[in-house]
Amino acid sequence: MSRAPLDGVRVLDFGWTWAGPYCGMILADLGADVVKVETSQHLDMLRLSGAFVDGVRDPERSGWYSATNRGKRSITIDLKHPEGRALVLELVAISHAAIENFSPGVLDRLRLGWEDLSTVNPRIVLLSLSAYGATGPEQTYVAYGDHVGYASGMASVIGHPDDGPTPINTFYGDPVGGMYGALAIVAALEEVRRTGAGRHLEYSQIEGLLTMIPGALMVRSSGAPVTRLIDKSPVMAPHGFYRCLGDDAWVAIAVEGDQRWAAFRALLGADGRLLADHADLEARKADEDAVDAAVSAWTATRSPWQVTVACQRAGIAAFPLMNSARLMRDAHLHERNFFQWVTHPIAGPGPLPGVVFRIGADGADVRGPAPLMGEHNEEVLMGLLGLDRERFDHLIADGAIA
Amino acid sequence: MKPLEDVRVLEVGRRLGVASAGLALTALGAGVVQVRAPGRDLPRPESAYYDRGRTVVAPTEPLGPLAMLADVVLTDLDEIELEELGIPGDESGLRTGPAAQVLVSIRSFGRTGSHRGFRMTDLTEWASTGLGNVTRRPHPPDSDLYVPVMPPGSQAQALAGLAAATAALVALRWARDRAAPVVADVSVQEVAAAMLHGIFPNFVWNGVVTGHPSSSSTALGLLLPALDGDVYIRTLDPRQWEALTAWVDDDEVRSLGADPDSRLANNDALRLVMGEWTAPQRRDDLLVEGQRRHIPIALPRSLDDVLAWQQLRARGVWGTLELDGNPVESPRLPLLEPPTWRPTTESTAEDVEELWRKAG
Repeated sequence: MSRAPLDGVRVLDFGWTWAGPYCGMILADLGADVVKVETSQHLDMLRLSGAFVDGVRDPERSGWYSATNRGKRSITIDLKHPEGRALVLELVAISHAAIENFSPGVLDRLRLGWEDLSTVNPRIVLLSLSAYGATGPEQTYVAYGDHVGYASGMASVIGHPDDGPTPINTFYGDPVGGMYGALAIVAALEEVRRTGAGRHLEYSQIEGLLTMIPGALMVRSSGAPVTRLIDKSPVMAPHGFYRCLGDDAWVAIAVEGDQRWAAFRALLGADGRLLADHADLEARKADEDAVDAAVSAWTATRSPWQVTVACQRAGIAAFPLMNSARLMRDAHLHERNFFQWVTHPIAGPGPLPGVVFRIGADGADVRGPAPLMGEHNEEVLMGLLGLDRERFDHLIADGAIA
Repeated sequence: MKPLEDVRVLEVGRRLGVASAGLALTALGAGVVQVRAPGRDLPRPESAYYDRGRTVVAPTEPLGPLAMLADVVLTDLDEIELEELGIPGDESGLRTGPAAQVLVSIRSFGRTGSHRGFRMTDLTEWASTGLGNVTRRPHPPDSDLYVPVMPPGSQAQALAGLAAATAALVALRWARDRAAPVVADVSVQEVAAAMLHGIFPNFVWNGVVTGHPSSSSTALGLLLPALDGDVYIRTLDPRQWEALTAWVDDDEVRSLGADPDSRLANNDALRLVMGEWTAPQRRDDLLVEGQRRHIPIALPRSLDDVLAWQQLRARGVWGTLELDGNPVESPRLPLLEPPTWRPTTESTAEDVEELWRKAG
């Protein structure tokens, strides 16, 4: 393999749970040496988040942790210990970037905040991710990726007008934050190459989610109502999720324009399903319930894939509603080697969801399994920082390496 | 932060993902020429937001010379469409050497694989990612049938745009380091599916399809009624759960949520018991007291709540844009927002070419 795009870039990943580590994962996939700084004194909650391999609740068997921390090195340092703090600052001096998503103020209280890090290394880039941001009256509030989905207003614009808040039911704010963070770190590293000056990047996950619904916010700011559309579209009909034959089987269909409507009518007509001859979008929207009922009757006797193939052959956008089982069986994703089988020393072999994007043939890759806790203590602290065995053992005995 | 000040980007596309990536690169200082391909139909608010700061060139003009001079070509068109516009569709047509070029391709299923020719929209892309399966509502209300719904904002495309902007930066760095052109392949499906870290392992190791109506993990936490709205509570750290049970002080809550597995299995029962406790209380009081106890509790907010929220006002989150001739508030780009946005202007390919050639 050729040198990776971020070969030579060292990142200290103080991140825990998902947002910070997701950012570190993207950089690790691109070839950065990402050193995860964790501690057995206060486990990363992701290590305690399932699913667990073989059903054993064990910090080394979390599938979630394994996916998010693949390809990183792990060292265990007690940041509250004076000598632990000193070790961290030594690492900062030889690193290019650091990631943290503690509550605002935690690193400052440990005297490992921006002032401390940039004094040791003026070229360092520090990314701080938090739910509400590091300033403002609610800066200390505790939240995770699902909380910010509600707080940002995003859950208020999904679903039916009569529904309560309807979230994207994964911790969406976390990976969105990780993606913003990775983009900003790569940009800041480029700036450091040009100017020599490091930078503190401060991100609020709630604010990140606002930028995922800018149109709704702008419309509402104008005083106009924002309608929750369920799965409908103002510019296409039929448009929605339709139930198919089978257990929780659905297909998404979106018919764009009058020509494709004609093709869709012909497709259903060939199966003996007559759709009214609506001339334009306005007519189809006016009769949308009846059209949807006819489409549902057609899809109800078919598999999602049958409907997809028939529609795609007619030039109509359609695709099955994918879930984890369907994605893992998807031939297209396997043709592209999306899932990466890695062998973890305890969990054994298993598939991980793959890289976020491809750079050339091999510029982005899953570069190894997630580390065991402290697996690289010797490698990093002795090999990289040059500690001798005596000091290394002393730091363990003294609780700095823990 | 202006790390791309001398970087030229040719953005050619139809969908929101390309515009989103182009916006990020513009914010980082790149000179981005935007070509809006025939059939482009970004809604007006999204266009006002995502099309800022560009030099817009009509798609009818020959683009080959601009493609030759650009550092990055950012596109969601396929190879045939690119060829028709005189733009290289793969490495073989890209500049090599110290100023090697980058092509960033954003497509629903990427540049390879059997689905790559599929016709897709925001809805079908959302379905393709796996995120659609965990975005559902009970229908009819109070039934066990959870039907999929689609969030606004072209979520899958917006995610792909963030990925593509990162890919452009990384690919440019790599191309210049190796003196060889680089093609970045951004699959909208994969960008979103790569996020399913809490979902794939559940299937791989437990055989549980998260999001299936029979899966207890359809609900992550507790959405509870309050006197004047809802509150949302989910604890992660055991100390947070202990703080919550100390606050609620109810033996049934302690019993139902004795450990993380019990809390998941008893989610519905916990919601009922906890709901009786929250229902007579004001949600702001619950928020303030809960957070004082370091319990992760949040208020589900409407757009009006968000626009009026003092936390966001204090942080200067809002900028002003023009929508249909009127000023409206819009969220600033986190981490990337420049001090000012250059106004979007129109130009000709010939004029841009001359400008780029003069700049060297």
